[in-house]
Amino acid sequence: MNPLPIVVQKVSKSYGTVQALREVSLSVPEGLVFALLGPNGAGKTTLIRILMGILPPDQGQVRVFGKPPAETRSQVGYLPEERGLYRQAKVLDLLDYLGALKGLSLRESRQEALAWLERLGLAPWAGRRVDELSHGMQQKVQLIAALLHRPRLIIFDEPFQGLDPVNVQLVKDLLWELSGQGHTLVLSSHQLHHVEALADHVALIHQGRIVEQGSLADVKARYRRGDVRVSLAGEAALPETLPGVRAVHRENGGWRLFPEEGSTPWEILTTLVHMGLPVERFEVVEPTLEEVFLQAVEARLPHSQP
Amino acid sequence: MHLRKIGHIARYEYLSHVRRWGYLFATFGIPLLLGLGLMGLRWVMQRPEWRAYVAVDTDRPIGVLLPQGYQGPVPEPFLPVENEAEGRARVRQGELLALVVVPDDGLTTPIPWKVYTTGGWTMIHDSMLVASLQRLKAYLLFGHRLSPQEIEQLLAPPRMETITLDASSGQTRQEGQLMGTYILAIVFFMIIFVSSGYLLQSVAQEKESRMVEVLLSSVTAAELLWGKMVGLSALGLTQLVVWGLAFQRFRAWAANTPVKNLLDISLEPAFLAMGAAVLVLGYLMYGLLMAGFGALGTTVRESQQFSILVSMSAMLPMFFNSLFFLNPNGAIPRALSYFPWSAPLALLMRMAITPLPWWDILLSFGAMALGVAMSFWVGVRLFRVGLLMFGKRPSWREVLALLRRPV
Repeated sequence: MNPLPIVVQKVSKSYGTVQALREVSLSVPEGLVFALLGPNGAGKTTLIRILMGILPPDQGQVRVFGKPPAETRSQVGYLPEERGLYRQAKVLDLLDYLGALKGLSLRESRQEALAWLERLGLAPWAGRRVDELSHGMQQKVQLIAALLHRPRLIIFDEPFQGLDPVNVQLVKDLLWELSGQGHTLVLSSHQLHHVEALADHVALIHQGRIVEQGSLADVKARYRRGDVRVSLAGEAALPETLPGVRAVHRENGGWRLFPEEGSTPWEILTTLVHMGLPVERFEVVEPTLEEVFLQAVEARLPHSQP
Repeated sequence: MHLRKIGHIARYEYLSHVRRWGYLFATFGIPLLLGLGLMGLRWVMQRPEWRAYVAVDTDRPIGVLLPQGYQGPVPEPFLPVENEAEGRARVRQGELLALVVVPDDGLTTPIPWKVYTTGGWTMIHDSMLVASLQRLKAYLLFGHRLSPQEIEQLLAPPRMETITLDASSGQTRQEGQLMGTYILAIVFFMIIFVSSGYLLQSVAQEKESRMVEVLLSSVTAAELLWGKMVGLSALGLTQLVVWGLAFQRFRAWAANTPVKNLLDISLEPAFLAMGAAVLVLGYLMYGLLMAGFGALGTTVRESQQFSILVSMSAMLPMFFNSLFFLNPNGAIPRALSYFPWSAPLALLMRMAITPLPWWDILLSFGAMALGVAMSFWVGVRLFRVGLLMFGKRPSWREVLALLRRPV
């Protein structure tokens, strides 16, 4: 049996008096898109740097494909949050160099670089200096640098940061494609809405601790509260109070109903129909990752603990 | 550590720096300018005016009206004339360069000697004439009693050979070797320092451009550091080789020209060997520290501010240059050659000026070895920790805290 792409066991890391990670444990299954989510300063980048072997953990153990991270660098692609390029280097020379550092021969590196440049529409710029490229083009070159050596595992730290909508879509399409090819992807982001559509598994990290993890469907199911979204036909309006509903909020031209404890969506729908309201649309609301995150963090705050 | 990766980094660093204008100018431009300067100097020295200045124009003698009764010889370029009128006429005709009239009591009174010249007379001729008149005066004073050879002996400065005796070594240093070894000492030091400076710049630029984390995902900090050290040392060596070859070429070209003496520099093999060892130790010592400081700043400028302490220590012997020449074995030159971060230049300067006993050299090398160990400890720590610190330049207090932090 092949070892898992990533296994992290009770990893802690601190910078002086600041505790960046506290006994973090997680594992990433092969071939899935794994999202590491949390606000800025939660410890995501520190964890990723440990996964890449850039930083050593103070405590705990990390295995990438069953080995210490320093031994598997050539199998991992990495797009860091703090990313840049040598401004005066020529695009192709730079990619040759980065490919060689990942273990490719200069010939292989050149072949791969040319293929990627062609694919991302940068072939005419191969011989140009990096500082002659637009910001978006430079982002593409950075992506190529992470993928050049055909890694089995690819880690993207804040992949959408600083991108315009066109490039966000480009990156998303590329991630879909890589995922479809069977690569294992780890996405770290504080922009949860971008990642939601891509991730199979998620881990939510807050103040250096993993507060929730599992498959996206399971995690959402755990935090589903039975909220419903209702739209009525014509000028009809919902009353401010409804039986079995603790709150009614206007939302996107309709209403969002927050059920009381023990009340089910079916009971709410039955109530609306009995009231003679012209229900045009009725749906059980899936919690967004942002909502899941907020609930997960709230559940672990000291005042909410039993 | 992967040697192949170190090789790739070294190659990339070398190739990306070797094409820069600043480096190309320093490596090829300086010898080129030196060559042009030498060619210009040769052209000037071959001009008639220059020949008149340095060797007296023997084609055009200077007429001299001697005091009455003087029967002795006169030196070149003087040619006695019968009377003042005849002399003035020959100056006007261009037969004589000038006419000097020595009054009868010109040797015993401050009465001025008249000098007749034509319109082409310049300050250079003036200087030449003053030197020649000194010689004429000696002939007029002693020409009755001494032969011209004896007078020339009297005028010639004694030939000297300065020999520095050392109690323990008993070695000597020839005067003629001083210039060569001293220049080489400065060149060696420049190579060390320029290469270390490139290292600081390279690390700081990598951090400033946010390239460093991409690299650290492929190589370890140690591989990155050593790759840079090797690549940029090759840059310094290239410079040394180009300068050395250019010097050899100039020397061959100047062999039969008036500028020959300027390039007549002799070097001792032992000094070259010591210099090479200092080059390696000095580069390791400064390079490791510069790499560490390069990683601390958020911009190249900030990193350079951190490195000022190293630069000042390294240049310290320059401030005491005269003390080194007066007494290279004095307390301050010795102390500076035993302090690790001033030792490379201080030792090279002392060795250039005077041969040193073996124990003295050994002490200095010991200090440098200690300096390398300390620079390694400090530089590697700062490099590893500083590389990933973005956004803020640490204070000196924070730098000390960083050094205590485990890496």
